[in-house]
Amino acid sequence: MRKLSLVLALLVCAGAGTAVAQTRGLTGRVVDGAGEPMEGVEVLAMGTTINTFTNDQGVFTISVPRHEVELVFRMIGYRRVTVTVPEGTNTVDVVTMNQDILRLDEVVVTGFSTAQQRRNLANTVATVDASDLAQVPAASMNQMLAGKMAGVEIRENSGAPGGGTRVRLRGITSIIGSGQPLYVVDGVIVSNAGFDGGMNAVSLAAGRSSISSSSQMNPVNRIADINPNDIENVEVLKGASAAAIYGSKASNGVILITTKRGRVGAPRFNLRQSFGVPTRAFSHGCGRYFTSLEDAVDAFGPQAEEYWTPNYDPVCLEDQIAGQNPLQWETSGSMSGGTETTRYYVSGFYRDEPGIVVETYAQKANLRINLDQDIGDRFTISTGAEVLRTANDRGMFGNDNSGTSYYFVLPHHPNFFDLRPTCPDGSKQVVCEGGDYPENPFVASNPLQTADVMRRDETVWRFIMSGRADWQAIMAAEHELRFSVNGGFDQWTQNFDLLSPPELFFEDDDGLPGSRVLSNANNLNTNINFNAVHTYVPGTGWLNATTSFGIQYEFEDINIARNAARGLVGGTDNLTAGESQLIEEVNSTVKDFGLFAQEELLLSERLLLTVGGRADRSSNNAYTDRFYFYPKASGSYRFEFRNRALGMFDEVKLRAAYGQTGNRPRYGQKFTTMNTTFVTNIGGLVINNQAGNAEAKPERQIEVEGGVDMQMFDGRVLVELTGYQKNVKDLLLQRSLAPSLGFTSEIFNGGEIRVRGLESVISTSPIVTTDVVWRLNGNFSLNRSKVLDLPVETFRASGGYSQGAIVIEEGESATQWVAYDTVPGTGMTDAPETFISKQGDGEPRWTAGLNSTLQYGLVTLSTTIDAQKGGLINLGTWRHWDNQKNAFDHDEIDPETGEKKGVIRRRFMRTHPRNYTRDASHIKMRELSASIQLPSSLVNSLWEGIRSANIRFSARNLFTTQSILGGDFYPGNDPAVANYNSGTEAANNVQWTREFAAYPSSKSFWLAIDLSF
Amino acid sequence: MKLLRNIAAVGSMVLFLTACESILGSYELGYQDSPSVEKLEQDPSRGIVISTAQGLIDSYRDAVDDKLRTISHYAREAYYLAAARTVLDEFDDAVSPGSWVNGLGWGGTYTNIRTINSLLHALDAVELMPEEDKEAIRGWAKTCEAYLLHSQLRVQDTYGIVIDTDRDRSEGLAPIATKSEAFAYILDRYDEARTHLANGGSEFPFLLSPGFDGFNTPATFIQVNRALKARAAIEMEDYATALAALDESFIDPQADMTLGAWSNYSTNPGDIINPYYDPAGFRFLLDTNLVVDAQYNSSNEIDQRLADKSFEAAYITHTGVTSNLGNNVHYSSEAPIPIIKNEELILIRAEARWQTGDQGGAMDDINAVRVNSGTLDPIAAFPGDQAFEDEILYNRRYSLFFEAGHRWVDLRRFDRLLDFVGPRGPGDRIYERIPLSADECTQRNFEPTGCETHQGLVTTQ
Repeated sequence: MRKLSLVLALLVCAGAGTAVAQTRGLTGRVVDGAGEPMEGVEVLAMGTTINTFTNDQGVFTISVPRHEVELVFRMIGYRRVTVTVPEGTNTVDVVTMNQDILRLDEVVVTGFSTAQQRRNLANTVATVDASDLAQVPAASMNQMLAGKMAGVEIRENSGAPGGGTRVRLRGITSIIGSGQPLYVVDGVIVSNAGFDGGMNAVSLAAGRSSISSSSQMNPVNRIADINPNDIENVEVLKGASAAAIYGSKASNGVILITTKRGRVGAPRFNLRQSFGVPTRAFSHGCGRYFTSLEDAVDAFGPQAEEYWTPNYDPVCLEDQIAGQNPLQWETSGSMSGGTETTRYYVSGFYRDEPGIVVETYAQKANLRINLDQDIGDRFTISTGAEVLRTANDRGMFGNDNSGTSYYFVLPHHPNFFDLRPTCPDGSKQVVCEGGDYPENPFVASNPLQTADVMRRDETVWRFIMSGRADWQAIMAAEHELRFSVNGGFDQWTQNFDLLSPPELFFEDDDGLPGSRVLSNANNLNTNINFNAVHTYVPGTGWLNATTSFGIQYEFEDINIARNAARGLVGGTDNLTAGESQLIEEVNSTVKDFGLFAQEELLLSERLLLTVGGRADRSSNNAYTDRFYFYPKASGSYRFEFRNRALGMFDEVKLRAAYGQTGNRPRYGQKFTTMNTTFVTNIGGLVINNQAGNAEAKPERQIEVEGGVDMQMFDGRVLVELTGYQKNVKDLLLQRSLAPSLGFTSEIFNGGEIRVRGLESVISTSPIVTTDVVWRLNGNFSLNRSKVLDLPVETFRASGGYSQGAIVIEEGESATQWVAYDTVPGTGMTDAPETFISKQGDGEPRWTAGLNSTLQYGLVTLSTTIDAQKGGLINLGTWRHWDNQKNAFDHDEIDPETGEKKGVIRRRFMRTHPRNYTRDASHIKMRELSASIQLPSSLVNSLWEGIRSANIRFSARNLFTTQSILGGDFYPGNDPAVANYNSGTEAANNVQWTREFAAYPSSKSFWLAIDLSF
Repeated sequence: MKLLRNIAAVGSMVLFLTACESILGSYELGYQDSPSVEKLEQDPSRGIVISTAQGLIDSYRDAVDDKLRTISHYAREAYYLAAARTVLDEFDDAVSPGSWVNGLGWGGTYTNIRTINSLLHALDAVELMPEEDKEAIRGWAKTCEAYLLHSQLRVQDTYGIVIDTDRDRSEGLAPIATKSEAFAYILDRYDEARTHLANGGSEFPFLLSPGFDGFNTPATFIQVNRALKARAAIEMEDYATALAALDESFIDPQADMTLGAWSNYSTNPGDIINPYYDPAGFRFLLDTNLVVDAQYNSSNEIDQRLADKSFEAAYITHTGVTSNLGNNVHYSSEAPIPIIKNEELILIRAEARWQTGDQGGAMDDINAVRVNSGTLDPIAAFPGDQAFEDEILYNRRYSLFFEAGHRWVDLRRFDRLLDFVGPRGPGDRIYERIPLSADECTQRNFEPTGCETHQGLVTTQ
């Protein structure tokens, strides 16, 4: 360490005292394809860091060395232009820039402080830009990515306001290690944790003794806080070969988010106001209509006699609970601009998202300031500061043991009993102030009363600060040496405040009426990188060699304290009034340190070779002073054809990449711990039933990727084909032990999983005329996993056979789904013996996305369609409809057996869980939007200052179809949603396949007005 | 400009050096939320030994708490009707190692015993602790082990359980001991514990919860140890051993029937409340046959035990089971659950006396419970074994229902499981015993007989 700082200091000294060459002034003008002046185009003298920007007339002036220079003109969304300016010239011809439809000139991150143009890149790095991202409002940024990139699977945990998603990049990467990608915003590692505030205190889903249960409550994972309108682009490093620079935190891939920054020019203001209306997308069918008292009593017991009447008018509880169509809205505004030395971007955002379920909502607000300051021509300081506040009440959903979860009550409610209150004015409404709610004779709670009376607020305040300082120590003709420091922190505090007053019908069930929960979670991530980058470009330009070194330090600290009180004396809304009080505290602290070095050689702008590596240590490893090394190497070669090869190809690039990443153990996995117990007020210790791994080390992923990119038909078509193989070794595994050994499970490193996959992306612009531009982008991916080596016997990682289990078994897919069966194939035939067998795979056969944007004059139509073939989802709610003999189709006759469908399903409920685990194939229209740019003459007649105005009609999740791809679903469930156990390791990583009593999914319709001036 | 540049350069060096502080600091951060097991197993302190001994109060509680919900279904005593789980489907299906019940308490039993074994080793190593304190803790811990194993053996019965638990994991799995091997070990262990307690000085060096009041010294705890041994002895039909053990227990027909050792619940932070407390009569309802089968005294008053321990609630139906009989066994959120109580001891002695030919003594004991606890009329004489058997089963049922599923064990002992009246009429399954847990079986390639799928019997009434 000490040596390193010495080296760094020497490098710093070496940079001092370099001279600046003599200069001359150059001026010129930049226009777009239509001849309109372009503002904010960056003009850069190649081989130097001298740059400037065009003004609103498209004019620039720049001081460059007197010898011949190459000027590079770049602007996001346009193909870069290079112009050679001979010695002695002071003006440049008018430069015309064309749109970069295939985005080959886009610069993509390859290191902590280095980047390459996409056209040379040896990896596939998926990118989504601002213009494609925030088309249609969504609860979280992740939802906006769905369908837009190959190899990126995004699953929503439920339809609840505020979002909550799981992301998987290129298939399964871990069983019980962390399985979610690393999120980095402007160089700061940000938290994507999700903490349950403490719903379990009421739902009892994980028993009475704990306040919270992340596994049961699918909390919002905090990447949802990010304001999508601030995002300039999202880059996804999917596998180890691209993500190796992030070392032992990168096995699940890295999602790099870059926020918008100010550009040189007059202030620009953008305002967007959107209004939306959501509506429930699926229906469970309103339950069984009971034609006879006998049936009603059979399903609901003798108390049904009191409420059932012949030819009753059924009530539809689902429509009552989740039948709202509230007005949602978003306001976002930004202001940006700058001088040549100071550039700023300031933005604000507010989203109000009432849910389709009564009395649920989410809100999100942020304020961001990005500031860039040049100090002289060698120093640049860039900062970003963001304050966020999110709040929500997502009702009671998911598993429960207290009869309180709304969608648990739903299947156990007969449609001859109306749960609506009598309001003070005598009317029956879903909820109302002062309403007299009937007690539910069938389940512990009346969900309408719960929704109305229970208070449940979760608030997050978050502060993200990023900073970067760049210093050009050497700026010689052939050499450039740059130092940078980049880092920041992400700090957030989540408060959860629940009051379940004594008058709620279920509250007296435990003799302790009234519950109160207050909890507080603090999360801090900080990281800092020091980098030195040396670029060597010999005069003739045949070589561009970039050498970089870096040091990375990351720190994460989490503290969660939860308090709950039950039995509120006199209904007092205060923890201290509880007859029974519970306290929980959870802490974790992680320190990581890494060293990084990389050499990139670009020869003749054709051949790119990269070698590099990162060495990491972490406090989560058993041996904290040991460094784990993750190498990477890649190469690509670009063939340019002056005359189209085979009449098609303009350019073909062959690429191959190799890399390793790690996945460090989770905090605490190396320890066998003792648990504190209390009986009355006497505390004691007992050994935890899970044995830790005293030898814990990171999982190691080795990825080889190869591919070919073909640019065809004058840049009209770009085809990218990629194949990869990832081998994950030293897996962190939790194996079940024979409990007689004293532990029910243990954590260990071992075994190997292989994932092979294919990705293809086709980007085309079938029509490009002055009036019409049509862009069409399709992606297709598939992956297959296999457990190559398992040093222990086959084990169950999660779940039981009567509902379906994740079974890790050598030679089989890591996502196989194993359950009881009666007779294979038929499933409905009665058989005395049940047996355990593999019945499917949670991983889809393939996924695909299609994005289309058609621009005709002032009108733009765009759509995103997302498809999945195969995969499974276990429909827990449906199991309950059948258990209660209450499914809407219970009385329908099965043509084969002549029996009632509900009766047959119920008979095999436990012995044939395949009935409730269905093929999740589906096609979903994620986004559809039509925008009209108002003619400038019209706009200017209203207000001269307006630069442009847009009206956009859009819809999210407009339709879902299952049958086309063979999806096989019961009504009511979204095939793209699985909430159960979304917070636990194994289930999070492997089992994306269980739904139970989830917040229903919705579709939403939006109207937005964009103004820029 | 130069000044600014220098400031920036100095600034970033300062930033770097500040960062060095945390970068170079220790990466050995430890576990923050609780002690790691090394603290007990390597160089234990007196404090951690005491805390671990106190932790066993929870293990005593686990022996019943873990199983009561499910075993009460097997015993047809009380039903969990809160609907979220489909435990009642156990009445429909065969039970296998992979079933939801998963060995019923198997995992909890052996993880608790793991703590006991580590504690016993720590006692050998701990310094600054008088030998008599160590002996007291050994007696306390081994009694707990025997009690946990016996409670588990009642579930697996002839499938057997594991008794050789103090092994290194590298030694592999211990064999499944047969029922009689297990009983022999359990009785032995109670006796070893008794010897330790006798050497244990005048006080326990740790705190006990109020449920152990009266038995919270090594000398008085021997009475609990003996009582538990007597319970095990009658189940292996060793009546002489049972009678000998009872002599050293706290049995007293004149004393309160509730005298004994109890597991507490409380609303204190960190503790749990009695999970079976259900004042609304919504979740844990009693089997209505308790009303049908109850005896009346000459004043036509129903058995006081039922009257005291139940109340009339609204009808609830779930999965075909209907009941309106709320439970008052768990009468408050802090209601304790017996580990063993006087009433049971008197009935144990009645049975042991009858079986050893002391019919008069048996009659006295039965009547002590009938009159004192049930306010029923005393019985003058039994016409024969069958009549006695009926009477002892009746009294054990009403004295002990919804406390530990004793009735299931009792009907099995007397080979009368088909006496059960199903809550849904004939056709339900009655398990004779429960297979081992799934993971115990997977690791043993399903070889033990306890890894088979158990079909159970089918009720005829």
